[in-house]
Amino acid sequence: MDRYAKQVLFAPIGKEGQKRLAAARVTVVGLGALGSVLASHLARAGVGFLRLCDRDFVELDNLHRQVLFDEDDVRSGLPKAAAAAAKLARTNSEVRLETRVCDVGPANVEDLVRDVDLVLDGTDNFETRFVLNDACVKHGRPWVYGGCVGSYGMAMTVLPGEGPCFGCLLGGVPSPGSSPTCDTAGVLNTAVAVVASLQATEAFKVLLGRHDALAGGLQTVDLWTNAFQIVKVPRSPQCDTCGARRFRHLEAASTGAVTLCGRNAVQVTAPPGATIDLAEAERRLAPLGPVRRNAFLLKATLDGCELTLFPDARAIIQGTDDPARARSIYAKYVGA
Amino acid sequence: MTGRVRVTVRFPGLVAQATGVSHARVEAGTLREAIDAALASAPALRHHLCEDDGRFRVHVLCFHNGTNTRLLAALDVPLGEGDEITFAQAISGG
Repeated sequence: MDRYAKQVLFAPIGKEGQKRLAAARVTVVGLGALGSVLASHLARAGVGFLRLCDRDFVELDNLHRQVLFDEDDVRSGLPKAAAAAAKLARTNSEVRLETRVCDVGPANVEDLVRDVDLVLDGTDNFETRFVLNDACVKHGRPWVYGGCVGSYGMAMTVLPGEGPCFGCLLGGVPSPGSSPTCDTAGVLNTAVAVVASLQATEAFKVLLGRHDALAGGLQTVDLWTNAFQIVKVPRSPQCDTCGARRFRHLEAASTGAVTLCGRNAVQVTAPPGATIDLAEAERRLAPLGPVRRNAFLLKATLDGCELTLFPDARAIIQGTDDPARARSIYAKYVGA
Repeated sequence: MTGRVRVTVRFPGLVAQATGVSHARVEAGTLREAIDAALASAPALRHHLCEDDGRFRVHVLCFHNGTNTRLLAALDVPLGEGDEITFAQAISGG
């Protein structure tokens, strides 16, 4: 029996389309609510190569909407990228999966997008989306924006050189905290599934070369008020990114310590290329407090906070939203 | 088209939940007048959608007949019968 029989029967895909999907390469940035639905749709549809990027690990309050994960992943303290890859490998062994447990930012984004056909946005902040937008426009890679909060969400496909980019839509990066997030306003899991499905469908159309079938603008949906809309978004003549081709978000230095909105946690990043030996860190920290480690990360409870340390010397410090305190804990236990 | 017409200004669900206002039916001659009249229908609307200096917040999108008003030089655009003015909010959650 052909795994894709029902999909191939769908005329716009057909056998030729299925071959195109099998030859396609896609990067998914962020494997939370949107990202786990996106990766699931693409893997099940037979997209040949998926690069799965995420900086975070699975927690219990993810499970109501992040459909690739389960309680075993929470107990194991797995990074989302690794847990997603494990689940997808069991779902479709024909798909090549590349796991990237990393914070996507100016230092690594170009390497993550330049060798793929399309990039899918499963991120949870505007800053990373502007970094993605710069990298994708610079390298001519299509990407599909998606965002969701409450029962409301939106999606827009960016085709560099052909249509508007994210900078045309917004003009600039909104200030942190200026718009509601899933952590402040909650989110309906069905809305997440709808928005990610809009994004994934746009992705199929791009990968199949069916630009004529794209939504052609910003799709908005509110499942609670039953409002669906597509608004045309023209290119902005003033756009720095796709107009002037100035990629200032790629030039920005990755911030050393960033508060993770609504999570009472701060991410501390190390310089590009930094690495840390987790086994050695475990030996060093074990006398100071409870420590546990898996193949991907180490968790230690120190000074009333939980420090999660990754091999790239990045850390997420839970129990504070004060970057200065997080930096202090990092310097004390990991190194300055 | 000149003269005053009645138009509907629609707000996104998140703003409607916070302010109790999902839309406003207003009479106006220009886009700016319509927006000002709509925002006056509940004081909290301006807080959610505008900065202190009156400009729309960066994540706030306002579309007039499908045109992103961010790209207009000014909001003094005459309105026509049946024009659509719709606010949206760019969403960061995911």
